[in-house]
Amino acid sequence: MNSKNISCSRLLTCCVADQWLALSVEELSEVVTPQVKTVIPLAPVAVNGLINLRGKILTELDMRKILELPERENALISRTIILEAGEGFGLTVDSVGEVIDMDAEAFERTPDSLGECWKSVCHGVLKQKKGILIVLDVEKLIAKSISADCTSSVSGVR
Amino acid sequence: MDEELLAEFLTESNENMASIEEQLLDLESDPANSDRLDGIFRVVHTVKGSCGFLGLSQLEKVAHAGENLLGKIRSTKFAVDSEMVSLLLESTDAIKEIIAGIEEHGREPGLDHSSICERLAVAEGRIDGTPADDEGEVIEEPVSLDWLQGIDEAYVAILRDNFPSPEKVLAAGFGTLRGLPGMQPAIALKVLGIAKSVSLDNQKKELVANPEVLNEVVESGLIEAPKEQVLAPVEEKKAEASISESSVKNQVQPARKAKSEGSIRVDVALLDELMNQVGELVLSRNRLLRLVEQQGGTELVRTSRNISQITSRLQEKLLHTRMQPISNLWGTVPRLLRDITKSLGKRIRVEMEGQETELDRTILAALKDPMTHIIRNSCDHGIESPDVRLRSGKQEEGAIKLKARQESGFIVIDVSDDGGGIDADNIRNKAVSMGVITADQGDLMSDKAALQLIFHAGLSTVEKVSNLSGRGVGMDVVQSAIEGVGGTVEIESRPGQGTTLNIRIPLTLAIIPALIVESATQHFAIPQMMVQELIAIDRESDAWEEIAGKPFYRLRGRLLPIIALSEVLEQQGQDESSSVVVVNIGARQFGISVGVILGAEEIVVKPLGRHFNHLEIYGGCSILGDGRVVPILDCLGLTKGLRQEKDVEAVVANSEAALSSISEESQYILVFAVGEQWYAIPMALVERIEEVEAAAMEKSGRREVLQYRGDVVRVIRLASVLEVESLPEQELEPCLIISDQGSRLCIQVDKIIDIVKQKLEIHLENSEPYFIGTAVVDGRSTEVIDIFEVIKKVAPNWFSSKGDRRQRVQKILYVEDAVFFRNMVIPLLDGLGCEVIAARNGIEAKKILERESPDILLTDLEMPEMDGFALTQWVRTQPRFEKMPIVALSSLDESQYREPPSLFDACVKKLDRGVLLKSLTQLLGRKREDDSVLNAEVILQENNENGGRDE
Repeated sequence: MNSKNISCSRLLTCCVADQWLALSVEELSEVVTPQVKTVIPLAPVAVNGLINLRGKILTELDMRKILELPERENALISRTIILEAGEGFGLTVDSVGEVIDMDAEAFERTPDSLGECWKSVCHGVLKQKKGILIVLDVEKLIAKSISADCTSSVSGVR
Repeated sequence: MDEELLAEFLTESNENMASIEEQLLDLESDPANSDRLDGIFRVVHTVKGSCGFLGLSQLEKVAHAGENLLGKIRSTKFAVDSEMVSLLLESTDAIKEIIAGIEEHGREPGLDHSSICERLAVAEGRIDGTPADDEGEVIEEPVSLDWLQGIDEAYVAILRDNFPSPEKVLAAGFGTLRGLPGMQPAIALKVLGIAKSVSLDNQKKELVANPEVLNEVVESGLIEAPKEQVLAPVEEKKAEASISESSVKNQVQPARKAKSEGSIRVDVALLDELMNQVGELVLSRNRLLRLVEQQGGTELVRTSRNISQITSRLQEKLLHTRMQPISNLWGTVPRLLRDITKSLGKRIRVEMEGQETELDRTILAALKDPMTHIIRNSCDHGIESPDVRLRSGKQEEGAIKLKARQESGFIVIDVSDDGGGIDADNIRNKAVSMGVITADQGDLMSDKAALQLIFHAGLSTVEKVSNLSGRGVGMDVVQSAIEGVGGTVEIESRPGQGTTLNIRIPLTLAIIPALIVESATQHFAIPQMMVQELIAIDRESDAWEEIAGKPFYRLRGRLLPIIALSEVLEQQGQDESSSVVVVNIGARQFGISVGVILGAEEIVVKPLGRHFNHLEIYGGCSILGDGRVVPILDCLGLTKGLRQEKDVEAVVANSEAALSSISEESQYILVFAVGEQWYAIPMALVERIEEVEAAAMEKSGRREVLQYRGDVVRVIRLASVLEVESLPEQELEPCLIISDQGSRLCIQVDKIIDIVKQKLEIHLENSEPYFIGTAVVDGRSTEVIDIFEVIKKVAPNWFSSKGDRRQRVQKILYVEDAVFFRNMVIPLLDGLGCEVIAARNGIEAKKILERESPDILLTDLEMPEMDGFALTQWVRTQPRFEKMPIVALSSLDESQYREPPSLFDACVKKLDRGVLLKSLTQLLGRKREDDSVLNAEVILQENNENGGRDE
């Protein structure tokens, strides 16, 4: 995982609550505009719902909800990144930026000063001229989106 | 010959034989590989074994010879040489040749394979001649080296030390010989050649001297096989001893026919993928239909309908390819039983019914373990040991019955044994002692509900732990496995008589019809196989009850626990739910109240992602025709909480027992119209509904008759009896054929409306002569006609003509709490010419019995104060009534009785007049007349006697 992430040459940048993030392009297949969602009652909080992407049913996760950030104001301009991990997921972010080349020199392990929430989904940081890019760890991200619910909600069967 | 079995055998053999070549070749390169050898042996052995089954004697001979040789190789750890492999390859070719012949002609081709058999036998003998080194002395002594004529002494010396006999030389092979110190390749080749011819000569001599070796050859009838044939290939090979196997193969491989295309084996994964694709097709079809509906022209509609039909057919056919008969699952049962019975010292046989019933293979696979477990359980705990069985008057040999059948989208499997059964009280006590339920709950629980507790995790009833079952895991695992494939399992048991497990599973899981419902503006799918019925409800209705803080709805006398979907899902902004979906979980019903029922759609079940793993209320998701994703509700998970709440269970169980007498009054009634008014009669009285041509009703005097199935049947026009305005005569008149004890009446009505299950309100005072009650059908108050009053009026002789009056009037004590049934049955008993004493319950009956001695006691079972069981049990203790027959008359099936039906002399279902009359006449010691003859007379008699009296 680690070596894969570092060695991969290209990253997609996206923005959540004014923080720029980056995802390895190898881990995603496409970026789509907001989809019609089916809300699933009792689902983990990080789950926006189910989307029908050309006949394939995917679970849409919300980056803001995973990070326990306030809901975004203008949902219409958000974008959903389709992740290829596992059975496939949608990851909704505020906006997407560009595809950049990975600069191994600028990569650093997750700094301790980062907030707990961020740390739990972070693979490392990339220092850019404009600022710091947080490189996301998709597996951690998905794991957090599941467990976030398991601890914070007790709503089980009934 | 069994065609299917043969086809199976051919496919399988072809597959196996295809790999055997390769395996043989591998073996050649690595003769010490015993696994490989085992594999080859198995294949040939299987072929031989199947041959015996299928009566393929020719093939069997070849395979047998091959098997013998392989067996010998295996047991003596003989290192095969290339010649041996060639021979084996030749034998497999012979096998293939015969199989190809069978494929082509359906029978064995008349080929002569005696030579190969002979050679195989020879080779077997050859191995015997060259035993492993440690036991070689016996033969070593007499062997001289004379056979090595023409070979230089130096080389003979080398051979003397290592390979003194031709057999040993052959066994060692060219490579080893060559590798001997001081040996030259050319000499080695020469030695090998001599060794071969000498050894063959020896063996032939041996064959003649020792025919046993050639048993197989003798059988084939050709012991005089031409020596040239035997020798020829060997000679050739001698020259090619070091030539690669491939050329050997080419040499021995005959041209073979292409395989028949009758059946092929397809990778299951491919089928699954196909199924997925068809699933997608169904979804796209749904979407297409939806779009066309909105904006399609005629042409488009037609085409899309075509596509829709083809899709459905495709889906159906594809489902079929995944189906396998349940015999695949049950095939292992006899063997399982054999093993179990041996270790338990019991004798158990298995009976199977409906083996051809087909199931989706994934479901079949999922059922494998539960099935094994259930059968083990039955053997271990169910069926008693032979001595116990003999003592309780049963056959020494126990029986396990497996029954499978298809029933409206479900496969129902019954596994029953005739063992000791399970005592509900035991289960109850155990459950209480283990804290699964409280003592109060246990008391409230019906026996049936208590029995289901054995599926509760950790509740194993057998104190003694055996190595087969009874480890406290078991039935709960069985249940969860069955529920895992969307099925349900229930247990029924009668102490001393046996236990039955009733398993219901859906036919397939891939594409299912579902009900789409809405709750708080969200859509959900409920699999239709779970749905019993839909009811529209009124929140204000007094059918709602709250018991222990839980809502219940009184549905036809039963308490239905209700779950509000929006509450379970914790949805915001609940809307008023207007409908209840009644779902079946096993024999229990639950109501799920939802907002709106939107309709039904075929859906393809898709799995939900891992974020929903912890939610038991969803069974998956699907895409609807409008493209929207919809979660599929899992009714088992949805009701799980409710089902596990013991107070709810107790309430339901209790109410079911208490209310069963009320539900008895719920009847199937036939609703019809005469003129404008609707009327109804109990369906049980109606033999058939016919449309009769008006012309077929012949006037005979002032009455009308109809020729019906060889009978002359009296026609009664209900309109004239009831004195209401009838509709004008139609070309086809709907008629009800009423049948009583083999004689019929035809009742003409104007229109058949419906058949409904309804509770009947019974008039207590008989103000109107022809009506016994009213029912509300479709919001209309409908009069229930007392058809016997009508008949009495119009054709009074219809009943009495058959009652042969005896000198002494026999008395029947009839105990029944429901007025409705009393009104129905008493005229019938009157018709028997008996005096009827009626009682409303057991207490009254007891009082009557103090002063009367009826000839027969006819009793309902569920009654207030003292029920039929209690009454019967009391009567049975009274010496005075020792000989009095007791007949149970209930709407329950015998199997539903709380007490063994053997308590009664006869058990009759309510309104089954024929059976009731038959039982009564028999028990009253009367003979039945031949009805058909009598009926004709009756009608004729009536014609003569009351010609003009009935109007």
